[in-house]
Amino acid sequence: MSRQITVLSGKGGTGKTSVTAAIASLVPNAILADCDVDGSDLPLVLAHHNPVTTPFIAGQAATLDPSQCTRCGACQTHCRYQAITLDEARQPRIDPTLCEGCGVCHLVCPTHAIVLEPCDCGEWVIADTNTSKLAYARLRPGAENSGRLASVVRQAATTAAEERSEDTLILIDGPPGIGCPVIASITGSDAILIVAEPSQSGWHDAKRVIQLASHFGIDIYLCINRWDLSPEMALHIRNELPDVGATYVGRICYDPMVTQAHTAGQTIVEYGCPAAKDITQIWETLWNHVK
Amino acid sequence: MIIAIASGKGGTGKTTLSTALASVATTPVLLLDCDVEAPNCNIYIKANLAPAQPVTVPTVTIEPLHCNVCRACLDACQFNALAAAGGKIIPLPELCHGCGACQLVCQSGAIAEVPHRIGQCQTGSSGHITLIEGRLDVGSPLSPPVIRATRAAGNAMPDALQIIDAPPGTSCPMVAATHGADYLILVAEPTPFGLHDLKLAIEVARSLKLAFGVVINRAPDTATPLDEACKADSIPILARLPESRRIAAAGAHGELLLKAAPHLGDTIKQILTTILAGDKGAVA
Repeated sequence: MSRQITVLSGKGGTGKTSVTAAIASLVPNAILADCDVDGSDLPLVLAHHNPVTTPFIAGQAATLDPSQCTRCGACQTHCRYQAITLDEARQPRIDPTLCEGCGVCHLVCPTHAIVLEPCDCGEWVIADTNTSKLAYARLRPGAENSGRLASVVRQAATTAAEERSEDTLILIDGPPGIGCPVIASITGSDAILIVAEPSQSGWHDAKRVIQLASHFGIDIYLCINRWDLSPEMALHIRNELPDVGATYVGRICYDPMVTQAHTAGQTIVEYGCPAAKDITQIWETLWNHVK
Repeated sequence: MIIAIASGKGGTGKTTLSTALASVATTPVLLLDCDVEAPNCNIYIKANLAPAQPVTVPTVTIEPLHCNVCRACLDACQFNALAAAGGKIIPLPELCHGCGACQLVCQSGAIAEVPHRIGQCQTGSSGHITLIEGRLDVGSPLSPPVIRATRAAGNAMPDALQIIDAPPGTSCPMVAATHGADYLILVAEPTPFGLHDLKLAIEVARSLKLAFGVVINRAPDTATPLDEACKADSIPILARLPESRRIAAAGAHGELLLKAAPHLGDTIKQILTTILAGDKGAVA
């Protein structure tokens, strides 16, 4: 039976992508999906080729044709996002970075001077790795719909898995936080692996994503990255895990060679740095639970 | 003046720097925690927070006695937040953006708006720092409305120096947190992922036309590809904060940066002085 695991953290920068890439080296036929679409780093360390790129057109933005505008100001009055201002001549100016694409201005405009146009929000890619497939995306900086694009990436990985006759692991590198892109990245998952940082902020944020995953009824596993930066906090987290319904699967030492591995375009396991042994152990423990 | 601190990549040190800057300000300062999915500023500031104010968005109810299922609301909704099933129109509050389009097009008066809670805002102070913390409820998908509410609470005190701790990333939450700031500090880490994500954050800064500069955190003594990239693109490097296990351990326990590393006091003050003097920002 195929399995889907999403790697999350709550707090940013705990090592999700580093751990996901390392596990990819341990499971050569796993299909990888980078759902952290507004900062997609997995492709930087997973060599890939034959990319198939699809534009991501989602949502809309309001644009004004000044020649049709009677400067009645109705658009500005009704916009709830302060995206429309009127200049000295009462000519509306639409700020595309604030426009929510709701279409209210279009609805209230008596002359249809405002129309909605589809937004080019970026693109998504499915590519071959040396042993399997990688799905990822590039959300246009500043764009909305990161949740939808994360869903598209996840679905691309799921589709690739369905095309195979054998059981396949889908491994998802998730985004930080708890919002819509995170929710999109855990839909359909059998388990989440939380990569936690041994700090007060790291534990505070990990607990929020644990709470989110609990709402979805997904099994929750947790490892502690760079545990030796604060052994006290690492122990504190381990002790509290049973209370929050998460299972401990191991810890990774602080390893300055990780940056060297990534600079060489390699995963921690490929490079063979000290952290590789810890991640291998974590993967074996996790897979024992999940399979 | 409003100074926002963002990054692109998570975990580069935004909250560490935001709270450090607030701690050295010599005038009353407002610290806005706009990382509403994972707010951490108060772990360092340790303010006593007043009871939370709920943040709501208007979502809709349909009065079935008035609704003739004409579906005009469904057609007007750009977010698929209304569904038709079983001969009724059903609102899906988690998808609703609260724009009011459905109510505008309803000819039967069947649509009413009700506040739907998605998060909260709390205020507290510690010394000269007033903290406003936005916090998204776990399970609510959309953070920008909570971020906007937090920014609005800050704008109620227009004369204070405002420091905004923004969320990671380069999409709508980061834009909502940094929009209209007088200056944007991008905190970067000198790693391959850090450089990749910094370039995305710079694109957003330029599209928002914000004056910006970079603080390199956990920097080694020697120049890195990230240093070179900033110089090549004429992006000011406001400061380089050193890599230090001791500082990391202290931060892990909720210690403010300058408590763990008082020798960095002049560096942090200089960042603030430079920005307040208005003489160092990349041309957007």
